Amino acid sequence: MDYTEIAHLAVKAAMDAGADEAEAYLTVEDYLSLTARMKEIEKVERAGVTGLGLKVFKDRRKAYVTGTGLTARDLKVMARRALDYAAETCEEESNRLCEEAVGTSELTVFDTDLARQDLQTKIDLLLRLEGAAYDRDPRVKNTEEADYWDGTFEKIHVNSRGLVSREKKTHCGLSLSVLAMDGDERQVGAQYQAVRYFSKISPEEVGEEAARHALRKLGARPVKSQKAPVVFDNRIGLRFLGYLIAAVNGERVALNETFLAGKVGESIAPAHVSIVDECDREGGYANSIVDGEGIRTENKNIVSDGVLTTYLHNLHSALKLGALPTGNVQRGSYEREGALGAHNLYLAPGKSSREEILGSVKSGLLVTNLMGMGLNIASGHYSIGASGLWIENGQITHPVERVTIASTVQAMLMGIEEVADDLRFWAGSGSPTFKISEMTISGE
Amino acid sequence: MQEPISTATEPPFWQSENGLLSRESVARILEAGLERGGDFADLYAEDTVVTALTRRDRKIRDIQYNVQRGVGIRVISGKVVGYAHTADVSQESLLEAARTAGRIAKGEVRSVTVELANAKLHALSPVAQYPDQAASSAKVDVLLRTDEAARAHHSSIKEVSVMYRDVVQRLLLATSDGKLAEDERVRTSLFCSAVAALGSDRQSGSGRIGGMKGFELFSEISPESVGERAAAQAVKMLTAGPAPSGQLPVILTNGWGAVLLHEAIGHGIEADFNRKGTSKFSEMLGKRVASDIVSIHDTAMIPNHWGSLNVDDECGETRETELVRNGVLTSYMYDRYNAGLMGKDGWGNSRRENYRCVPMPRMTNTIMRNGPHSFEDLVRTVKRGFYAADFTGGQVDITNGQFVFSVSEGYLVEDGKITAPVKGATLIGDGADVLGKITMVADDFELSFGGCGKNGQYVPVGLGQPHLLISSMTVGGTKG
Repeated sequence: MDYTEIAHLAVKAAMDAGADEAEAYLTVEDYLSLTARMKEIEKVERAGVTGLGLKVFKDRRKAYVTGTGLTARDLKVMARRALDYAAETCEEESNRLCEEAVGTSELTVFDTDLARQDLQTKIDLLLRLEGAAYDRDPRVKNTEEADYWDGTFEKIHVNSRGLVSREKKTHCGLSLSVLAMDGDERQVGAQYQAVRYFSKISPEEVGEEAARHALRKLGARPVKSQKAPVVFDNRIGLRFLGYLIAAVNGERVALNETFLAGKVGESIAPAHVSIVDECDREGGYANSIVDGEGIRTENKNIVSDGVLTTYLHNLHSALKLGALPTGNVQRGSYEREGALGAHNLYLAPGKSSREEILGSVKSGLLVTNLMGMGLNIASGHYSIGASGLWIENGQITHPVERVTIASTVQAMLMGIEEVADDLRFWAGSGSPTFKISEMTISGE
Repeated sequence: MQEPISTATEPPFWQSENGLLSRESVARILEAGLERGGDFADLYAEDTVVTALTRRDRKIRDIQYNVQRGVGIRVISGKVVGYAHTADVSQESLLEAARTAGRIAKGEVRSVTVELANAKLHALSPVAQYPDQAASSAKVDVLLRTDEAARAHHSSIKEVSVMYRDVVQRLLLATSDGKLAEDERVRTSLFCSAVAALGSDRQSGSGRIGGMKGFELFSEISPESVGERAAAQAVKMLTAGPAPSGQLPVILTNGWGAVLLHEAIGHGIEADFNRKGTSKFSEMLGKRVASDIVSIHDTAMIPNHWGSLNVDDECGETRETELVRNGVLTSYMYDRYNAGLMGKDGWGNSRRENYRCVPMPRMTNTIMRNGPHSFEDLVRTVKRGFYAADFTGGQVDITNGQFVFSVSEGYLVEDGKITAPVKGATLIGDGADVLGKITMVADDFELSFGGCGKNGQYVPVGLGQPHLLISSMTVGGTKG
């Protein structure tokens, strides 16, 4: 089936039904997933999902309708329904296609080697993954789940202004969570890897790291409630960047719903802090050329030398705030219209080593795991469950659990005292280890 | 129970296309799945229509209409599960999906016979007005009324967002041991979030209603009350001081406070974790897991409630299951696959997000019933403590029992009285430890609802409890 042709037919159906402008977004997905546990395969899943989302604009109103039926009749029904619904929405200047959403683009990140791998090779990877964890220490005694997945994801995005944007990517990955046990105590350690090329998969590394995380939690206990420095491990730093991304979402900023509203141009962090959003990073997992509204993506610093330089805008928020769309509408499955987000996002690495940062902590917490939601985006207030390792005079003394850390994200940003040089990426985005001068730790 | 007075507008695809998924053709598909020697096969066909409207910035910003039609086929051979799904619902494609799922069994092709009879099905949740028959303009009106009520509540309300969502889901389920069921699940909900601002301080509040019911939801509970609730919470939090930090007695709200039951023990006693022995509650059947005034049930049987089910997602008969009696763990929650491997022959907690998903043991409506005390009795006994009046949600680590929940509306309790509002904080504890510290249970049971994520699958769940007093818990605020 020629999916580009179908996408064009969908746009035509919408225009024929009376739309002023229209856009079709079709995704074709194939995947395999394998689950194993205790050296036995427990689950084999295979599937393909193809579907189409149709966005119509009429008199500055819009609607989004999706379906999996792709016959000419299905497309006509969708188009008619979309126009009926659009009539119920309110007029809005941004209910139209972007002027810049034109032209042809194609991005292919396709691993031909992946298609050549047979099922047994993939099953063997899972056995190696789990084996690596068990080989590390006899206290690794149980497995929650070992998973392998791979697939292809293709998207075709066309509109009535002439945009034809195609993207086709392969992906594969592994994840493992194992239990370390000591007496009555059980602690879980989890690790994953998501890559575009089969040759990059490294089961031994992932397995060993899952085991290491479980083992180092054994003997964890709460600490006394206190104010102390908190170091975010490079495993978890990305969560912190996620708060920032939520707070610079132009849709929220336009409605004054975030604590960073009105702060562009101001220093929100010390001068050694820069936060980067890249769309064409060498080997980047989340590279892209055109965003979910058909706008060309671009590299940018969101925070540059401590100064908040930009929000992320779609056409709607850009028009509201007199800015330009930033090419940050992230769009996966056809089922959703897409939402503002970053591409390959990272906190720029600093000069100190991780050891130097830990060594500088007189008494404080190295956080390796977070639990819960934590953030009130309107006010920036932050409180979340944490576990990790206690540091005393620069030395790790014991694992910590059942504590919370609290502050405001504003104070945490200003309090980033040091950033390490150990930047690590997780499926596109990443963070080095960094130290925040003080947070409230609640425990015993 | 009254008869439904209307039915959904469009029939599911298996009724509109002649003979597709007839009893005979479903049997043939299951047989194809078993032809290489699997022990069990099932089919889950779904025709779901979701309509969602969003109002923001005083405008109807989005209308989304999603149709999800497809079939998932599973084959179990020994311990191994094969799963395939397809949105292409021709008989050939379904037979192919069945054979794909069945490939986990390695035997020579053989002939098997499957015969199907209707499974037992409750009729718990009659729908008075199908939401797909309500006019779009009526839904727009619900959003408007909610929005205006929130703004009218107080001049400090600056922004209001309202989301309406209805889901009409039709299912056809069949199992190779001979069960066939057709069910319908209709859910309607409304969510409002409001932001109040005073100087540079901004606070948000939320309100929501929902049920396994149709558009009649809004004649039972007014949209205005949802807007007012969101606005009132945002305004209260504007004057809130910092939350306390450290160990304190905690009173949990009725209704949604039952996130405690869901996180502190619910997940930990789902059968999959216990078959694997990875839960803190593994090997704990018959043992003390809570104080002796605590009894907990999971019930799919509450009419029209969010997590109720007429039949589970493996054709299992749904029911009320006692999980904890007077502090002692009496049962795990089972799906068919894990029950089979654990030597149990009853289940009813099998659920999946949609046809693309393999079923898992999940909660339905998890509840604790009334105790003897009034809410005021609970408050009176607390000299210095924390009242958690609303939450945004929770999370648990199954292996060590550690759980959190995020409080979105909190108050200090001082000398037996609820006093100043304080800002949100995370509460953290260990499941059995915290349940063991429940010292008083009030008599004001209330139901609530939410969504629950597990292994990437999201399902609607219900919750309910009266006010509870926990003698000591870690409160994660900033004020020592």
